[in-house]
Amino acid sequence: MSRLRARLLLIAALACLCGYVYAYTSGRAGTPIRSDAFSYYVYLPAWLIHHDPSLQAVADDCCGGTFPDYTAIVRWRFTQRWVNAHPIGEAIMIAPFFAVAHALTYWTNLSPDGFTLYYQHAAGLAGLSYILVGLWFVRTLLRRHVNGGAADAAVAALLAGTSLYHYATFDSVWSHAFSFALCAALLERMDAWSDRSSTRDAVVIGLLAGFLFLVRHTNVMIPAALGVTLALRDPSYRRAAPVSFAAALACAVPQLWLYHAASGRWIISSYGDLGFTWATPHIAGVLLSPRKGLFFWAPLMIAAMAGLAWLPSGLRRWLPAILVVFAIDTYLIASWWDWQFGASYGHRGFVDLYPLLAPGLAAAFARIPARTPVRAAAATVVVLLCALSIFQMLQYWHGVMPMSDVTWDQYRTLFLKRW
Amino acid sequence: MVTRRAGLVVAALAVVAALAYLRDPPWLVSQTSGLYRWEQPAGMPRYRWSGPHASFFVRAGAGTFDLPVSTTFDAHDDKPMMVTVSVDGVVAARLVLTDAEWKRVRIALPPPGSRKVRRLDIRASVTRTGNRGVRIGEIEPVS
Repeated sequence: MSRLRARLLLIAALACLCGYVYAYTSGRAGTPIRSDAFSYYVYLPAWLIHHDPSLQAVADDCCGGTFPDYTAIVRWRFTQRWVNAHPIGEAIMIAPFFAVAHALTYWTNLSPDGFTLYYQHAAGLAGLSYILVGLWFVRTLLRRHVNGGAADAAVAALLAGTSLYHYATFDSVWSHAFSFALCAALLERMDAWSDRSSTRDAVVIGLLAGFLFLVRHTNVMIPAALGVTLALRDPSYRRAAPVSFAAALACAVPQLWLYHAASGRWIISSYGDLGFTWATPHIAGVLLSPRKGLFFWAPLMIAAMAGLAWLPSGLRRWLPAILVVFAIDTYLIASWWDWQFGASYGHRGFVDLYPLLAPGLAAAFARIPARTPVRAAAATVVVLLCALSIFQMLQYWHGVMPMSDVTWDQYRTLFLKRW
Repeated sequence: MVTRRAGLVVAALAVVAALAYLRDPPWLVSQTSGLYRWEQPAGMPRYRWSGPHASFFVRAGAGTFDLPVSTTFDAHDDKPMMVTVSVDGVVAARLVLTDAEWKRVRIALPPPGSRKVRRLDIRASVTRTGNRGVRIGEIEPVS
Protein backbone atom coordinates (compact mmCIF):
# COMPACT_ATOMS: atom_id res chain seq x y z
CA MET A 1 0.00 0.00 0.00
CA SER A 2 2.77 2.43 0.95
CA ARG A 3 4.61 1.57 -2.29
CA LEU A 4 1.46 2.37 -4.24
CA ARG A 5 1.13 5.66 -2.40
CA ALA A 6 4.74 6.52 -3.12
CA ARG A 7 3.91 6.22 -6.81
CA LEU A 8 0.58 8.04 -6.54
CA LEU A 9 1.40 10.75 -9.08
CA LEU A 10 2.92 8.23 -11.48
CA ILE A 11 -0.27 6.18 -11.24
CA ALA A 12 -2.32 9.36 -11.75
CA ALA A 13 -0.22 10.17 -14.83
CA LEU A 14 -0.75 6.70 -16.29
CA ALA A 15 -4.49 6.85 -15.54
CA CYS A 16 -4.74 10.24 -17.25
CA LEU A 17 -2.74 9.04 -20.25
CA CYS A 18 -5.00 5.99 -20.61
CA GLY A 19 -8.08 8.23 -20.50
CA TYR A 20 -6.53 10.63 -23.00
CA VAL A 21 -5.60 7.85 -25.44
CA TYR A 22 -9.08 6.33 -25.10
CA ALA A 23 -10.81 9.68 -25.68
CA TYR A 24 -8.91 10.32 -28.92
CA THR A 25 -8.51 6.80 -30.32
CA SER A 26 -12.19 5.99 -29.78
CA GLY A 27 -13.12 9.10 -31.75
CA ARG A 28 -15.24 10.41 -28.88
CA ALA A 29 -13.39 13.70 -28.43
CA GLY A 30 -12.67 15.00 -31.94
CA THR A 31 -9.45 16.99 -31.82
CA PRO A 32 -7.98 18.54 -28.65
CA ILE A 33 -8.00 22.12 -30.02
CA ARG A 34 -11.70 22.73 -30.46
CA SER A 35 -14.41 25.13 -29.28
CA ASP A 36 -13.11 27.40 -26.45
CA ALA A 37 -9.75 25.65 -26.60
CA PHE A 38 -9.22 27.07 -30.10
CA SER A 39 -9.55 30.61 -28.83
CA TYR A 40 -7.14 30.08 -25.94
CA TYR A 41 -4.62 28.42 -28.23
CA VAL A 42 -4.89 30.58 -31.37
CA TYR A 43 -2.19 33.02 -30.20
CA LEU A 44 0.56 30.42 -30.69
CA PRO A 45 0.18 29.94 -34.45
CA ALA A 46 -0.46 33.69 -34.76
CA TRP A 47 2.75 34.67 -32.94
CA LEU A 48 5.13 31.84 -33.72
CA ILE A 49 4.12 30.73 -37.22
CA HIS A 50 2.47 33.74 -38.87
CA HIS A 51 4.34 36.37 -36.77
CA ASP A 52 1.11 38.34 -36.69
CA PRO A 53 -0.22 39.29 -33.24
CA SER A 54 -3.31 40.81 -34.88
CA LEU A 55 -4.63 37.24 -35.50
CA GLN A 56 -5.60 38.14 -39.10
CA ALA A 57 -3.14 35.71 -40.71
CA VAL A 58 -4.55 32.81 -38.69
CA ALA A 59 -8.08 33.92 -39.54
CA ASP A 60 -7.12 33.79 -43.23
CA ASP A 61 -5.46 30.40 -42.96
CA CYS A 62 -7.98 28.61 -40.78
CA CYS A 63 -11.24 30.33 -41.38
CA GLY A 64 -11.40 32.25 -44.63
CA GLY A 65 -10.57 35.58 -43.05
CA THR A 66 -13.24 35.63 -40.33
CA PHE A 67 -13.30 33.66 -37.10
CA PRO A 68 -16.49 31.66 -36.50
CA ASP A 69 -18.93 33.00 -33.87
CA TYR A 70 -18.22 30.22 -31.35
CA THR A 71 -14.66 31.49 -30.91
CA ALA A 72 -15.77 34.78 -29.31
CA ILE A 73 -13.00 36.42 -31.35
CA VAL A 74 -14.69 39.50 -32.76
CA ARG A 75 -13.76 42.54 -34.80
CA TRP A 76 -13.68 45.52 -32.45
CA ARG A 77 -16.35 47.90 -33.70
CA PHE A 78 -14.21 51.04 -33.84
CA THR A 79 -10.90 49.61 -35.07
CA GLN A 80 -12.00 46.52 -37.03
CA ARG A 81 -9.15 44.61 -35.36
CA TRP A 82 -9.58 41.16 -33.81
CA VAL A 83 -10.25 41.00 -30.08
CA ASN A 84 -10.18 37.60 -28.38
CA ALA A 85 -12.35 37.08 -25.29
CA HIS A 86 -9.92 34.37 -24.18
CA PRO A 87 -6.65 35.75 -22.84
CA ILE A 88 -3.08 34.75 -23.63
CA GLY A 89 -1.95 32.92 -20.48
CA GLU A 90 -2.85 29.42 -21.56
CA ALA A 91 -1.06 29.86 -24.90
CA ILE A 92 2.11 30.96 -23.11
CA MET A 93 1.90 27.92 -20.85
CA ILE A 94 1.48 25.62 -23.87
CA ALA A 95 4.38 27.29 -25.73
CA PRO A 96 7.12 24.80 -24.69
CA PHE A 97 4.94 21.91 -25.87
CA PHE A 98 4.17 23.84 -29.07
CA ALA A 99 7.89 24.29 -29.76
CA VAL A 100 8.46 20.52 -29.61
CA ALA A 101 5.42 19.91 -31.81
CA HIS A 102 6.64 22.50 -34.33
CA ALA A 103 10.06 20.86 -34.61
CA LEU A 104 8.49 17.40 -34.95
CA THR A 105 6.06 18.71 -37.57
CA TYR A 106 8.96 19.80 -39.78
CA TRP A 107 10.75 16.54 -39.05
CA THR A 108 7.78 14.45 -40.24
CA ASN A 109 6.82 16.95 -42.99
CA LEU A 110 3.31 17.57 -41.68
CA SER A 111 1.76 20.91 -42.54
CA PRO A 112 3.28 23.50 -40.16
CA ASP A 113 0.07 25.50 -39.72
CA GLY A 114 -0.34 25.11 -35.96
CA PHE A 115 -3.30 22.76 -36.13
CA THR A 116 -2.03 19.46 -37.53
CA LEU A 117 -1.49 16.26 -35.58
CA TYR A 118 1.47 17.10 -33.33
CA TYR A 119 0.22 20.57 -32.45
CA GLN A 120 -3.13 19.11 -31.46
CA HIS A 121 -1.69 16.55 -29.09
CA ALA A 122 1.05 18.81 -27.78
CA ALA A 123 -1.72 21.13 -26.59
CA GLY A 124 -3.77 18.20 -25.28
CA LEU A 125 -0.85 16.72 -23.38
CA ALA A 126 0.09 20.17 -22.05
CA GLY A 127 -3.26 20.36 -20.25
CA LEU A 128 -2.82 16.85 -18.92
CA SER A 129 0.70 17.67 -17.69
CA TYR A 130 -0.45 20.82 -15.92
CA ILE A 131 -3.15 18.88 -14.06
CA LEU A 132 -0.41 16.54 -12.82
CA VAL A 133 1.74 19.51 -11.82
CA GLY A 134 -1.26 20.90 -9.95
CA LEU A 135 -1.78 17.59 -8.18
CA TRP A 136 1.89 17.58 -7.17
CA PHE A 137 1.49 21.00 -5.56
CA VAL A 138 -1.78 19.98 -3.87
CA ARG A 139 -0.12 16.87 -2.47
CA THR A 140 2.92 18.82 -1.27
CA LEU A 141 0.67 21.31 0.49
CA LEU A 142 -1.53 18.68 2.10
CA ARG A 143 1.33 16.48 3.31
CA ARG A 144 2.74 19.51 5.08
CA HIS A 145 -0.36 19.69 7.29
CA VAL A 146 -2.19 16.34 7.42
CA ASN A 147 -1.03 12.73 7.58
CA GLY A 148 0.21 11.20 4.34
CA GLY A 149 -2.72 8.81 4.04
CA ALA A 150 -5.34 11.56 4.20
CA ALA A 151 -3.33 13.76 1.82
CA ASP A 152 -2.92 11.00 -0.75
CA ALA A 153 -6.56 9.94 -0.45
CA ALA A 154 -7.63 13.54 -1.03
CA VAL A 155 -5.42 13.84 -4.13
CA ALA A 156 -6.73 10.56 -5.57
CA ALA A 157 -10.34 11.47 -4.76
CA LEU A 158 -9.93 14.92 -6.25
CA LEU A 159 -8.80 13.41 -9.55
CA ALA A 160 -11.22 10.49 -9.75
CA GLY A 161 -14.20 11.80 -7.82
CA THR A 162 -14.64 15.16 -9.55
CA SER A 163 -14.57 16.44 -13.12
CA LEU A 164 -10.81 17.00 -12.82
CA TYR A 165 -10.06 13.74 -14.65
CA HIS A 166 -12.28 14.87 -17.52
CA TYR A 167 -10.36 18.17 -17.76
CA ALA A 168 -7.06 16.26 -17.74
CA THR A 169 -8.11 14.11 -20.67
CA PHE A 170 -11.18 14.81 -22.81
CA ASP A 171 -11.18 18.60 -22.50
CA SER A 172 -7.56 19.15 -21.49
CA VAL A 173 -7.04 22.25 -23.65
CA TRP A 174 -9.80 24.19 -21.89
CA SER A 175 -8.38 26.76 -19.49
CA HIS A 176 -9.35 24.84 -16.35
CA ALA A 177 -6.34 22.51 -16.34
CA PHE A 178 -4.06 25.53 -16.45
CA SER A 179 -5.93 27.51 -13.80
CA PHE A 180 -6.00 24.42 -11.56
CA ALA A 181 -2.20 24.07 -11.76
CA LEU A 182 -1.57 27.76 -11.13
CA CYS A 183 -4.05 27.94 -8.24
CA ALA A 184 -2.49 24.85 -6.63
CA ALA A 185 1.04 26.21 -7.08
CA LEU A 186 0.10 29.63 -5.73
CA LEU A 187 -1.58 28.26 -2.61
CA GLU A 188 1.33 25.91 -1.93
CA ARG A 189 3.99 28.60 -2.47
CA MET A 190 2.13 31.11 -0.30
CA ASP A 191 1.61 28.48 2.38
CA ALA A 192 5.34 27.73 2.30
CA TRP A 193 6.19 31.41 2.84
CA SER A 194 8.20 32.09 5.98
CA ASP A 195 10.42 34.87 7.28
CA ARG A 196 13.32 33.00 5.65
CA SER A 197 11.73 33.30 2.19
CA SER A 198 13.66 35.28 -0.39
CA THR A 199 12.87 37.91 -3.00
CA ARG A 200 12.90 35.09 -5.55
CA ASP A 201 10.03 33.41 -3.66
CA ALA A 202 8.10 36.68 -3.82
CA VAL A 203 8.75 36.91 -7.57
CA VAL A 204 7.52 33.33 -8.07
CA ILE A 205 4.34 34.15 -6.17
CA GLY A 206 3.88 37.24 -8.33
CA LEU A 207 4.42 35.30 -11.55
CA LEU A 208 1.90 32.66 -10.50
CA ALA A 209 -0.59 35.40 -9.64
CA GLY A 210 0.06 37.15 -12.95
CA PHE A 211 -0.43 33.96 -14.92
CA LEU A 212 -3.67 33.23 -13.09
CA PHE A 213 -4.91 36.59 -14.39
CA LEU A 214 -3.53 35.84 -17.85
CA VAL A 215 -5.32 32.48 -18.09
CA ARG A 216 -8.69 33.76 -16.90
CA HIS A 217 -9.15 37.33 -15.74
CA THR A 218 -11.72 36.49 -13.05
CA ASN A 219 -9.04 34.31 -11.44
CA VAL A 220 -7.50 37.53 -10.13
CA MET A 221 -9.62 37.16 -7.02
CA ILE A 222 -7.56 34.10 -6.00
CA PRO A 223 -4.16 35.83 -5.64
CA ALA A 224 -5.90 38.90 -4.24
CA ALA A 225 -7.60 36.97 -1.43
CA LEU A 226 -4.61 34.72 -0.68
CA GLY A 227 -2.16 37.64 -0.91
CA VAL A 228 -4.15 39.81 1.49
CA THR A 229 -4.38 36.87 3.91
CA LEU A 230 -0.64 36.26 3.81
CA ALA A 231 0.17 39.94 4.17
CA LEU A 232 -2.14 40.25 7.18
CA ARG A 233 -0.78 37.15 8.89
CA ASP A 234 2.91 37.39 8.04
CA PRO A 235 4.78 40.70 8.41
CA SER A 236 7.69 39.39 6.32
CA TYR A 237 5.38 39.02 3.33
CA ARG A 238 4.07 42.54 3.84
CA ARG A 239 7.57 43.76 2.94
CA ALA A 240 7.82 41.40 -0.05
CA ALA A 241 4.30 41.97 -1.39
CA PRO A 242 5.31 44.91 -3.65
CA VAL A 243 7.80 42.59 -5.38
CA SER A 244 5.05 40.02 -5.99
CA PHE A 245 2.71 42.76 -7.19
CA ALA A 246 5.32 44.11 -9.61
CA ALA A 247 5.99 40.62 -11.01
CA ALA A 248 2.26 40.03 -11.46
CA LEU A 249 1.84 43.38 -13.16
CA ALA A 250 4.75 42.63 -15.50
CA CYS A 251 2.96 39.41 -16.50
CA ALA A 252 -0.23 41.29 -17.24
CA VAL A 253 1.39 43.96 -19.45
CA PRO A 254 1.48 41.94 -22.72
CA GLN A 255 -2.22 41.18 -22.40
CA LEU A 256 -3.06 44.81 -21.72
CA TRP A 257 -0.90 45.86 -24.66
CA LEU A 258 -2.76 43.45 -26.95
CA TYR A 259 -6.11 44.82 -25.82
CA HIS A 260 -4.88 48.35 -26.38
CA ALA A 261 -3.41 47.58 -29.79
CA ALA A 262 -6.68 45.99 -30.90
CA SER A 263 -9.21 48.35 -29.38
CA GLY A 264 -7.48 51.44 -28.03
CA ARG A 265 -8.58 50.42 -24.52
CA TRP A 266 -6.58 48.71 -21.78
CA ILE A 267 -9.38 46.52 -20.40
CA ILE A 268 -12.19 45.24 -22.60
CA SER A 269 -14.64 42.39 -23.00
CA SER A 270 -15.30 41.00 -26.44
CA TYR A 271 -18.37 39.06 -25.35
CA GLY A 272 -20.49 41.90 -26.71
CA ASP A 273 -24.05 41.82 -25.42
CA LEU A 274 -23.42 38.56 -23.58
CA GLY A 275 -22.73 39.25 -19.93
CA PHE A 276 -23.83 38.91 -16.34
CA THR A 277 -27.35 38.77 -14.93
CA TRP A 278 -26.34 40.13 -11.52
CA ALA A 279 -29.90 40.39 -10.17
CA THR A 280 -30.90 36.82 -10.97
CA PRO A 281 -27.96 34.51 -10.20
CA HIS A 282 -28.59 30.76 -10.51
CA ILE A 283 -26.91 29.88 -7.22
CA ALA A 284 -28.89 26.67 -6.67
CA GLY A 285 -28.37 25.78 -10.31
CA VAL A 286 -24.58 25.94 -10.19
CA LEU A 287 -24.29 24.24 -6.79
CA LEU A 288 -27.07 21.68 -6.56
CA SER A 289 -28.97 21.12 -9.81
CA PRO A 290 -28.74 18.05 -12.06
CA ARG A 291 -27.96 20.48 -14.89
CA LYS A 292 -24.48 21.39 -13.69
CA GLY A 293 -24.54 21.52 -9.88
CA LEU A 294 -21.06 21.24 -8.36
CA PHE A 295 -22.24 19.12 -5.44
CA PHE A 296 -24.63 17.08 -7.58
CA TRP A 297 -21.93 15.95 -10.02
CA ALA A 298 -19.07 15.84 -7.50
CA PRO A 299 -20.67 14.91 -4.14
CA LEU A 300 -17.20 14.54 -2.62
CA MET A 301 -17.03 18.32 -2.67
CA ILE A 302 -19.69 18.30 0.08
CA ALA A 303 -17.11 16.53 2.27
CA ALA A 304 -14.53 19.09 1.13
CA MET A 305 -16.77 21.98 2.19
CA ALA A 306 -17.56 20.28 5.52
CA GLY A 307 -13.87 19.59 6.04
CA LEU A 308 -13.09 23.31 5.86
CA ALA A 309 -14.51 23.45 9.40
CA TRP A 310 -11.84 20.99 10.57
CA LEU A 311 -8.79 22.42 8.84
CA PRO A 312 -5.57 21.78 10.75
CA SER A 313 -4.17 24.85 12.50
CA GLY A 314 -1.53 25.50 9.83
CA LEU A 315 -4.15 25.72 7.08
CA ARG A 316 -6.84 27.51 9.07
CA ARG A 317 -5.42 30.92 8.20
CA TRP A 318 -6.51 30.35 4.58
CA LEU A 319 -10.13 29.66 5.50
CA PRO A 320 -11.50 33.23 5.12
CA ALA A 321 -9.76 33.61 1.74
CA ILE A 322 -11.07 30.24 0.53
CA LEU A 323 -14.62 31.09 1.59
CA VAL A 324 -14.49 34.58 0.06
CA VAL A 325 -13.13 33.27 -3.27
CA PHE A 326 -15.66 30.43 -3.34
CA ALA A 327 -18.54 32.81 -2.59
CA ILE A 328 -17.51 35.44 -5.14
CA ASP A 329 -16.76 32.90 -7.84
CA THR A 330 -20.05 31.09 -7.22
CA TYR A 331 -21.89 34.40 -7.62
CA LEU A 332 -19.94 35.24 -10.78
CA ILE A 333 -20.54 31.82 -12.33
CA ALA A 334 -24.19 31.82 -11.31
CA SER A 335 -24.67 35.30 -12.80
CA TRP A 336 -23.13 34.53 -16.20
CA TRP A 337 -25.77 34.53 -18.93
CA ASP A 338 -24.90 30.89 -19.71
CA TRP A 339 -24.48 29.78 -16.10
CA GLN A 340 -23.98 26.15 -17.22
CA PHE A 341 -20.87 27.26 -19.18
CA GLY A 342 -22.11 25.36 -22.23
CA ALA A 343 -21.05 21.77 -22.70
CA SER A 344 -19.10 20.42 -19.77
CA TYR A 345 -18.92 17.43 -17.45
CA GLY A 346 -19.93 18.73 -14.03
CA HIS A 347 -19.58 22.47 -13.63
CA ARG A 348 -16.27 23.38 -15.22
CA GLY A 349 -16.22 26.82 -13.65
CA PHE A 350 -15.31 25.32 -10.27
CA VAL A 351 -12.37 23.20 -11.49
CA ASP A 352 -10.11 26.24 -11.08
CA LEU A 353 -10.97 26.31 -7.36
CA TYR A 354 -10.46 22.61 -6.58
CA PRO A 355 -6.99 23.28 -5.06
CA LEU A 356 -8.66 25.61 -2.54
CA LEU A 357 -11.16 22.89 -1.60
CA ALA A 358 -8.58 20.09 -1.42
CA PRO A 359 -7.49 21.03 2.14
CA GLY A 360 -11.11 20.59 3.26
CA LEU A 361 -11.27 17.16 1.65
CA ALA A 362 -8.00 16.10 3.28
CA ALA A 363 -9.15 17.48 6.65
CA ALA A 364 -12.40 15.52 6.38
CA PHE A 365 -10.48 12.34 5.58
CA ALA A 366 -7.99 12.97 8.39
CA ARG A 367 -10.84 13.34 10.89
CA ILE A 368 -12.09 9.80 10.33
CA PRO A 369 -10.66 7.63 13.14
CA ALA A 370 -8.21 4.97 11.97
CA ARG A 371 -9.02 1.26 12.12
CA THR A 372 -12.72 1.67 12.80
CA PRO A 373 -15.82 0.50 10.94
CA VAL A 374 -16.53 4.16 10.21
CA ARG A 375 -13.26 4.36 8.32
CA ALA A 376 -14.07 1.28 6.25
CA ALA A 377 -17.54 2.61 5.51
CA ALA A 378 -16.18 6.05 4.57
CA ALA A 379 -13.53 4.50 2.31
CA THR A 380 -16.21 2.43 0.61
CA VAL A 381 -18.41 5.47 0.04
CA VAL A 382 -15.48 7.50 -1.37
CA VAL A 383 -14.48 4.70 -3.75
CA LEU A 384 -18.10 4.30 -4.90
CA LEU A 385 -18.45 8.05 -5.49
CA CYS A 386 -15.23 8.03 -7.52
CA ALA A 387 -16.48 5.07 -9.54
CA LEU A 388 -19.82 6.84 -10.11
CA SER A 389 -18.05 10.00 -11.24
CA ILE A 390 -15.87 8.11 -13.72
CA PHE A 391 -18.88 6.13 -14.99
CA GLN A 392 -20.96 9.28 -15.51
CA MET A 393 -18.00 10.92 -17.23
CA LEU A 394 -17.87 7.98 -19.65
CA GLN A 395 -21.63 8.37 -20.20
CA TYR A 396 -20.91 11.99 -21.10
CA TRP A 397 -18.07 11.01 -23.43
CA HIS A 398 -20.28 8.48 -25.21
CA GLY A 399 -23.20 10.84 -25.60
CA VAL A 400 -25.47 8.98 -23.16
CA MET A 401 -25.48 11.91 -20.72
CA PRO A 402 -26.39 15.18 -22.47
CA MET A 403 -23.69 17.85 -22.58
CA SER A 404 -25.96 20.40 -20.85
CA ASP A 405 -29.51 20.99 -19.65
CA VAL A 406 -29.80 17.61 -17.89
CA THR A 407 -33.12 17.38 -16.03
CA TRP A 408 -33.78 15.30 -12.91
CA ASP A 409 -36.07 12.98 -14.90
CA GLN A 410 -33.38 12.54 -17.55
CA TYR A 411 -30.78 11.85 -14.90
CA ARG A 412 -32.95 9.20 -13.23
CA THR A 413 -33.63 7.53 -16.57
CA LEU A 414 -29.96 7.52 -17.52
CA PHE A 415 -28.59 6.60 -14.07
CA LEU A 416 -26.04 3.78 -14.53
CA LYS A 417 -27.19 3.26 -18.12
CA ARG A 418 -24.40 1.81 -20.25
CA TRP A 419 -23.41 3.15 -23.63
CA MET B 1 24.98 6.09 -10.58
CA VAL B 2 25.53 3.31 -13.12
CA THR B 3 21.79 2.57 -13.16
CA ARG B 4 21.04 6.24 -13.75
CA ARG B 5 23.53 6.44 -16.60
CA ALA B 6 22.08 3.29 -18.16
CA GLY B 7 18.62 4.82 -17.86
CA LEU B 8 19.79 7.96 -19.64
CA VAL B 9 21.37 5.89 -22.43
CA VAL B 10 18.14 3.89 -22.86
CA ALA B 11 16.09 7.11 -22.90
CA ALA B 12 18.42 8.68 -25.48
CA LEU B 13 18.22 5.56 -27.66
CA ALA B 14 14.43 5.59 -27.38
CA VAL B 15 14.33 9.23 -28.51
CA VAL B 16 16.63 8.50 -31.47
CA ALA B 17 14.53 5.46 -32.45
CA ALA B 18 11.31 7.49 -32.17
CA LEU B 19 12.78 10.27 -34.33
CA ALA B 20 13.97 7.77 -36.93
CA TYR B 21 10.47 6.29 -37.05
CA LEU B 22 8.75 9.68 -37.24
CA ARG B 23 10.91 10.82 -40.14
CA ASP B 24 8.76 8.89 -42.63
CA PRO B 25 6.07 6.92 -40.77
CA PRO B 26 3.79 4.57 -42.76
CA TRP B 27 0.60 6.25 -41.49
CA LEU B 28 1.58 9.60 -42.95
CA VAL B 29 0.00 8.86 -46.33
CA SER B 30 -3.44 8.76 -44.70
CA GLN B 31 -2.97 11.99 -42.70
CA THR B 32 -5.10 14.93 -43.76
CA SER B 33 -5.99 18.30 -42.32
CA GLY B 34 -8.66 20.79 -43.27
CA LEU B 35 -10.65 18.30 -45.34
CA TYR B 36 -14.28 17.25 -44.96
CA ARG B 37 -15.65 13.77 -45.71
CA TRP B 38 -15.78 12.31 -49.19
CA GLU B 39 -19.05 12.97 -51.02
CA GLN B 40 -20.46 11.74 -54.30
CA PRO B 41 -23.74 13.35 -55.34
CA ALA B 42 -25.45 11.87 -58.40
CA GLY B 43 -23.79 12.87 -61.64
CA MET B 44 -20.71 14.32 -59.95
CA PRO B 45 -17.22 12.93 -59.46
CA ARG B 46 -16.23 11.84 -55.95
CA TYR B 47 -14.83 14.80 -54.01
CA ARG B 48 -14.26 16.27 -50.59
CA TRP B 49 -14.52 19.86 -49.53
CA SER B 50 -11.49 21.64 -48.18
CA GLY B 51 -11.43 24.44 -45.66
CA PRO B 52 -9.41 27.56 -46.53
CA HIS B 53 -6.27 25.49 -46.00
CA ALA B 54 -6.07 21.73 -46.40
CA SER B 55 -3.24 19.28 -46.60
CA PHE B 56 -2.87 15.64 -47.56
CA PHE B 57 -0.16 13.30 -48.78
CA VAL B 58 0.54 11.49 -52.04
CA ARG B 59 3.04 8.76 -52.82
CA ALA B 60 6.41 10.30 -53.68
CA GLY B 61 6.51 8.22 -56.88
CA ALA B 62 3.16 9.53 -58.13
CA GLY B 63 4.96 11.48 -60.90
CA THR B 64 2.64 13.86 -62.73
CA PHE B 65 -1.08 13.97 -61.98
CA ASP B 66 -4.13 16.17 -62.32
CA LEU B 67 -6.01 17.41 -59.28
CA PRO B 68 -9.68 18.18 -60.10
CA VAL B 69 -10.98 21.24 -58.21
CA SER B 70 -14.15 23.29 -58.25
CA THR B 71 -16.21 25.48 -55.98
CA THR B 72 -19.69 26.94 -55.83
CA PHE B 73 -20.80 30.20 -57.41
CA ASP B 74 -24.19 31.57 -56.53
CA ALA B 75 -25.88 34.94 -56.49
CA HIS B 76 -24.79 35.73 -52.92
CA ASP B 77 -21.29 34.35 -53.16
CA ASP B 78 -19.65 34.59 -56.57
CA LYS B 79 -16.22 35.98 -55.82
CA PRO B 80 -13.46 34.39 -57.93
CA MET B 81 -11.28 32.08 -55.88
CA MET B 82 -7.54 31.61 -56.28
CA VAL B 83 -6.44 28.09 -55.46
CA THR B 84 -2.78 27.59 -54.62
CA VAL B 85 -1.25 24.12 -54.51
CA SER B 86 2.10 23.57 -52.78
CA VAL B 87 4.24 20.47 -52.73
CA ASP B 88 6.23 20.11 -49.50
CA GLY B 89 5.71 23.81 -48.86
CA VAL B 90 6.83 25.01 -52.32
CA VAL B 91 4.18 26.55 -54.57
CA ALA B 92 3.62 24.19 -57.52
CA ALA B 93 0.52 25.62 -59.21
CA ARG B 94 -2.04 28.41 -59.02
CA LEU B 95 -5.47 28.53 -60.56
CA VAL B 96 -8.30 31.07 -60.45
CA LEU B 97 -11.81 29.63 -60.34
CA THR B 98 -14.36 31.97 -61.92
CA ASP B 99 -17.24 29.55 -62.44
CA ALA B 100 -18.55 26.30 -60.99
CA GLU B 101 -17.00 24.08 -63.67
CA TRP B 102 -14.44 21.47 -62.58
CA LYS B 103 -10.88 22.48 -63.45
CA ARG B 104 -7.75 20.35 -63.39
CA VAL B 105 -4.54 21.49 -61.77
CA ARG B 106 -1.55 19.64 -63.18
CA ILE B 107 1.08 18.80 -60.61
CA ALA B 108 4.48 17.38 -61.51
CA LEU B 109 6.13 15.99 -58.40
CA PRO B 110 9.90 16.30 -58.13
CA PRO B 111 11.82 13.00 -58.31
CA PRO B 112 11.35 10.90 -55.15
CA GLY B 113 13.64 11.97 -52.34
CA SER B 114 14.30 10.41 -48.98
CA ARG B 115 10.62 10.15 -48.03
CA LYS B 116 7.93 7.81 -49.33
CA VAL B 117 5.29 10.55 -49.48
CA ARG B 118 5.00 14.22 -50.39
CA ARG B 119 2.73 16.77 -48.77
CA LEU B 120 0.23 18.75 -50.80
CA ASP B 121 -1.19 21.95 -49.30
CA ILE B 122 -4.24 23.49 -50.94
CA ARG B 123 -5.09 27.10 -50.06
CA ALA B 124 -8.21 28.94 -51.16
CA SER B 125 -8.07 32.74 -51.25
CA VAL B 126 -11.71 33.07 -50.12
CA THR B 127 -14.25 30.74 -48.60
CA ARG B 128 -17.85 29.83 -49.24
CA THR B 129 -20.65 29.23 -46.74
CA GLY B 130 -19.60 26.94 -43.89
CA ASN B 131 -15.91 27.87 -44.11
CA ARG B 132 -15.52 25.76 -47.26
CA GLY B 133 -12.82 26.34 -49.83
CA VAL B 134 -12.68 24.05 -52.85
CA ARG B 135 -14.07 20.66 -53.78
CA ILE B 136 -11.10 18.39 -54.39
CA GLY B 137 -11.61 15.34 -56.56
CA GLU B 138 -9.54 12.18 -56.73
CA ILE B 139 -6.06 12.43 -58.18
CA GLU B 140 -5.88 11.46 -61.86
CA PRO B 141 -2.47 10.11 -62.91
CA VAL B 142 -1.10 11.47 -66.19
CA SER B 143 0.64 8.78 -68.16
